[in-house]
Amino acid sequence: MTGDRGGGSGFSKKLSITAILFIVYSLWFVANSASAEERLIEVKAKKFVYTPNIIKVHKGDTVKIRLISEDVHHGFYIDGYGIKTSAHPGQEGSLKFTADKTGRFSIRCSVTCGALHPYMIGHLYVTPNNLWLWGLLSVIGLGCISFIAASRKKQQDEKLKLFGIIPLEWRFPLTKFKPVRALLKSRWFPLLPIIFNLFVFVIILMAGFVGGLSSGNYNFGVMIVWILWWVLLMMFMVPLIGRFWCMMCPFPLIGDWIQRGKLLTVGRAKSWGMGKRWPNKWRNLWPLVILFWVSTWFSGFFTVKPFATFLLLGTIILLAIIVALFYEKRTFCLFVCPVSGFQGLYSNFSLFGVRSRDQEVCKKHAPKTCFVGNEKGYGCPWMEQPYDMNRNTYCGLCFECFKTCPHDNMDLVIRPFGQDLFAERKRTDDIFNRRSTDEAYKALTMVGIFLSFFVAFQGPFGHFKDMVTAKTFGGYIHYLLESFAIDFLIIPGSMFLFVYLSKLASKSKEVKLKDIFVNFSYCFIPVGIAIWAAFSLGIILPNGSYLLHIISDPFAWGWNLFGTAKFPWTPVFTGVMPYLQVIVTLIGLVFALDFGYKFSQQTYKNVDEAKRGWIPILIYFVLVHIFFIKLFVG
Amino acid sequence: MKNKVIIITLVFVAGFLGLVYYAIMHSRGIPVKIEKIETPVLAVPFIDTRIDLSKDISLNTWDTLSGKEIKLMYQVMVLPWPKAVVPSVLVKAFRTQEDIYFYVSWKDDTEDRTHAMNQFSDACAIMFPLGKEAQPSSIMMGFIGKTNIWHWKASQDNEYWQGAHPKTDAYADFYYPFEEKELFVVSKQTPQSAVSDLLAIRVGTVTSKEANAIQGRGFWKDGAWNVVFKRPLKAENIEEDTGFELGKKRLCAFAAWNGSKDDRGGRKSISDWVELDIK
Repeated sequence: MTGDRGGGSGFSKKLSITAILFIVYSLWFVANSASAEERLIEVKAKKFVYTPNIIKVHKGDTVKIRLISEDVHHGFYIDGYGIKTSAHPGQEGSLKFTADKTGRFSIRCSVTCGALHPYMIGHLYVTPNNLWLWGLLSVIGLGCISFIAASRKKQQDEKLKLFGIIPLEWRFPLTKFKPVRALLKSRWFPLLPIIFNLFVFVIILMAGFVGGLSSGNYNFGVMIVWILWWVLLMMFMVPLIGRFWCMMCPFPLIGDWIQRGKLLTVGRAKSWGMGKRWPNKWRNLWPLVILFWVSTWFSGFFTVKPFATFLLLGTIILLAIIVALFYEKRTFCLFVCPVSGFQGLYSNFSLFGVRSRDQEVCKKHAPKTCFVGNEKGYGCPWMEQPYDMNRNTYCGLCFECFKTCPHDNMDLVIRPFGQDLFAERKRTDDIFNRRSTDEAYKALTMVGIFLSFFVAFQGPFGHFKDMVTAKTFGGYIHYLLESFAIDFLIIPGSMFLFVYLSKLASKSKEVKLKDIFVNFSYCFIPVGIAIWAAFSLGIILPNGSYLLHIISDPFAWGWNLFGTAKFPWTPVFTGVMPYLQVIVTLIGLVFALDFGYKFSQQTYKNVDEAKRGWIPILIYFVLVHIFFIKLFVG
Repeated sequence: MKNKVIIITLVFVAGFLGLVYYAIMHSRGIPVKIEKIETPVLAVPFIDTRIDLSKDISLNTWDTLSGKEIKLMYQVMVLPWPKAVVPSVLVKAFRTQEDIYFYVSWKDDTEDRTHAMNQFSDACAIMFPLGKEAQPSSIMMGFIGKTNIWHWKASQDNEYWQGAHPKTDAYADFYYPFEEKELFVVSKQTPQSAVSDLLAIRVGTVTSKEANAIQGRGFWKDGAWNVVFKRPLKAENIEEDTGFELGKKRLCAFAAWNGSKDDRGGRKSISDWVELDIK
């Protein structure tokens, strides 16, 4: 396929697709243009599901809800409409409204009814669901644009540019500002944020410890960790700053002290650690792929029950200490901490990175104090080689290299999103078998885990919530098997199918299937960040108001420290939330499509192979995103 | 070094497991040591003495018997809340060849024998579970299963033994335990006894039996009520009357009403089960 022919066929395809979509929309509109009527719907509420869990009405219908509770006091709040009722057992709640807004609206329990209360959800469909339609059209439209843009390529890009605008190698060193450099060279940084976090986590652990099995939405530990921290992590820290959380995580503090005998100053006053070396074959993301997946087995407990949160955090802290006793430096953070893997992988997308300013200075400098340490600081605790580091995966932003570099040759840079994804391989990547199926599976399992989390915590399916929370042993085993199948078989399998089609379409005989699989799997990094951010919106906007309660009464002892203990549950912007979720998901797709063709160029040897090989992958990501849009608003 | 590391590891693990154990034990709140309360046993000996209630209640006979001080608690209710609990009743019992007698005594500063508007009678009752399996707690009269209740009321005693007429024809029996739904029985019958022989199977089902074989009488003296119940040993109707089989144990519970503290209907003090040892 030549560039000219590609462009021409693209234009005709665009016209065809537009015509088809117009017809589809017309049919859709006719199908949903029913006359308004009065609908009486009896809804039974029971921990933690509504029956029916999905209500469908037409725009203009007068909807009467008769709410009956079958166990405890339950509420019934409709996102977007902002109206609610509640029912005690034996008494009814009622609601009457005109369905004048279209789309899918979540129905939420507005009365704390038990552990899974924040996730007691139903769906109200008011047809026609225009948002779903526009989301669908947008995905297809973006796919068409990407196809046309790729078709017009006549040669391989000499210089990679984000969206064809910003050169990917562009960097701006923030450390050119003296206060920033002074801050990063200070031994108090990042120790002070770590100590602050330590204080917060002591309260979190205490709240988890004394909170027992009470409802998580009124517990400081559960709310701070699973509502605030998780949302900040997935929406801001990881996509923007990378391993920002690792920088100030208090968990390795005791291990550091055990190994160094000091916290602030430099030296090895007394070490109790054995300083063993982590095995080479596990010096990649595979341990973290497995450990994070295993930790999600218990998501139905530790996200809702204070004691389970205490148990999880306590176990992680204990593991951090034990690993520090046996293994060198931050082995725990690199290869054991369950939340380290996705932070490391996703931080390759982030705006920030620590890089050496002038490679020539580093080449001449011996010994490499950033790696071995000196009197100003420790050799890289994350066992990176800061002097030629070109990816964020294993950089914990501890800034020790700023302290140890006698030439002030380290910079904290701002760069375009995804710069690291196109970085050249290093020797260590081959030695430790990194940047291979480990990162591919990390990216893919994060999508699978998102699916499980979304269905369990933002879906209307009571039986799945029962499975996740192990209401029955058989159901729980079913959930684990389902999770394994989705994460390790179905998603990678579907990807592999399109990778195989990509190889066939490219007509390339040299490129290995594994390389195509690995290279294109990096498209799931912006996609993963986007869908997790969209998921996080569904956590923080409906439930964020509980934070005001728990900061005033962290241990549920009746305190009112800041006068907000009585603040009622107040969902915020849940009416526009589906729109935000669609936008965020589409942003992920935009990045995936932009990166995808670049990966195709890196994978295949010439532009024609790259263009042909890209088409099945493009279709795959369009289909995947149609599914995501369906999940969020369809 | 290796041993030191292992010891430190074990210390941390043991410390964490200790915390986890403590948290598990406290995960549903602070554990409270609950002492197992032994069910009090009231002996029902054989005494060849017959009490003629039309004359008196023969306190001399009762003085020769040892009794049981049975603790009472206030009936669990949503509203209204209790004004005063009758802390305990002294109970005694014996049987003859034909009859069984119960003596119930409790402290009460006022003798409330009148039933009128906002004026309530003192009373006491004995409840017997019917059927083979009684629930583990008496909770409230008739709440948990089929029961036979002997309900003595000072006002009814006044009417039956003294021939006194109620102050008003309007009459409330307050059978239903919730005050806002008190049932007013408009056609009041002349009492056959100072004791009502009642049946109940759950809340709101207290019903007077047609046949009443129970007699009773009470006297207030020196700030205390002394009430005696009497019924033939043999049950006329085993479905509705309490059976007393010799040599076998049987459960019962006691209740007392303090009329001057607005007790009536469900507002009363009740005991847990008491075991009768009928000899």
